[in-house]
Amino acid sequence: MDMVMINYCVTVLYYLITAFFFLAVVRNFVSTKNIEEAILYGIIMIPFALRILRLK
Amino acid sequence: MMKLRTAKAAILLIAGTCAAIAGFLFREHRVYREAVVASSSITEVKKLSDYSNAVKGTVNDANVYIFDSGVPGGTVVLIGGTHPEEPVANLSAQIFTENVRTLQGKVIVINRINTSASLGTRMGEAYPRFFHVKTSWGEKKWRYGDRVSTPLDSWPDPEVYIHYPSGQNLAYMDIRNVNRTWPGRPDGLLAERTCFAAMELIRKEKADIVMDFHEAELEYAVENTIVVHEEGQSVAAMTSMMLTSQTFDVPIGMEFSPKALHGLSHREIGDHSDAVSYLVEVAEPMLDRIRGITDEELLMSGKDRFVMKAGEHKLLYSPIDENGWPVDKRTARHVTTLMTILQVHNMLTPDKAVILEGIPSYGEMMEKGVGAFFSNPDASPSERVFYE
Repeated sequence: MDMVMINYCVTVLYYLITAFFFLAVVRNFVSTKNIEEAILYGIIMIPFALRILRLK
Repeated sequence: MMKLRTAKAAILLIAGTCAAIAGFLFREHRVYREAVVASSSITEVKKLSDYSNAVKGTVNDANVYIFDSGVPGGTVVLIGGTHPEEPVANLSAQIFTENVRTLQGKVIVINRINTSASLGTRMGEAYPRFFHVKTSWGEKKWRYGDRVSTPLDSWPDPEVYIHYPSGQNLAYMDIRNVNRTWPGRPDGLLAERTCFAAMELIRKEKADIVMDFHEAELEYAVENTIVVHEEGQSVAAMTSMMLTSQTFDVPIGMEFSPKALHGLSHREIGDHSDAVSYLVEVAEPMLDRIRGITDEELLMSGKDRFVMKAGEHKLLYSPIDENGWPVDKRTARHVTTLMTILQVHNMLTPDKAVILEGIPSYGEMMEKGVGAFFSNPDASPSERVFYE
């Protein structure tokens, strides 16, 4: 397997990991009863969303 | 409970709005295409992938502008945009693309060799996304970019980047740096494949001279200088003396490409082809760590009181005063340096001469500004308008 293919596989895994953590943050956002935590989760979601959408 | 739901909805709305605004700005930068009006003497526009499939289908499959006089002579390849946070490199190459008339030999220009790096700015640095040059017909707009390819196009980086073929260990992010991946390889990561395709161009076109335009922070020792492969030492030395004594207010030096430092254009192009490789540097205060407000004004004027203060304490490798290092001066130095290199090259190797017309002189660029030498794409024949 050449380097390009290895990198491609790692990139796909990376996006899957990013999506996993995004969903975990969303789940925590939904379940929390603490507003401060909800604000924190809301902020944390932004870079994950931008990365999944391949904007940054 | 109702209060919590309302608060969460508000938080989602605010976070979503922030993400939407940021996403819009990032996307606007990433999809913007720069217009290039090739000079009337253009003979062909190829893609880098015409020389190697290594970049086919990638964002770095750059336009290759070819100006062939049809008169036997030498071939010069100009490379701009290696580091898109050094915009004068791109502007200097484009001055040639838009103005050159080739009387003898052939000129090949790549305005943006690392397009990927121009599609995002350096993270955490608050760089402007675009810069503008005033022209008689309005403002011309370019993307301002990063030093290395964006992780959206080349990811992941290795823990340590092992340069091919030397095996030298370099910093991990330099595997995305087009001036650390020469001569490249066809099955490497994006920057390595880009350099490999460019090497194929240089070899197949039998280039005699390759020029790589750059800019550097004033805190960096390799400044206002020509870095040259040992094959070009006579030409570079003569060029340095001529420009310093006759044209430039700040001297331009000349130094040899270190033999033990790999991946750089001035070393590897000379080692892996018949071309003589040159790299030129000019002062860009925007890149200094100690700069003040990082905005387009600083990028274009090159004026910064913090950098000036460092100069007063003799902490810099380049002079700077209240006039700064404006983009006109930086571009004029690069363009004039290449023209002088060609002048000396033509004297030493007349059978490989490259004779050009239409390129503005140092004085003209300083007097009129570089904007005077870019054409209006909306008023130019569509067959000569290309996008980067």
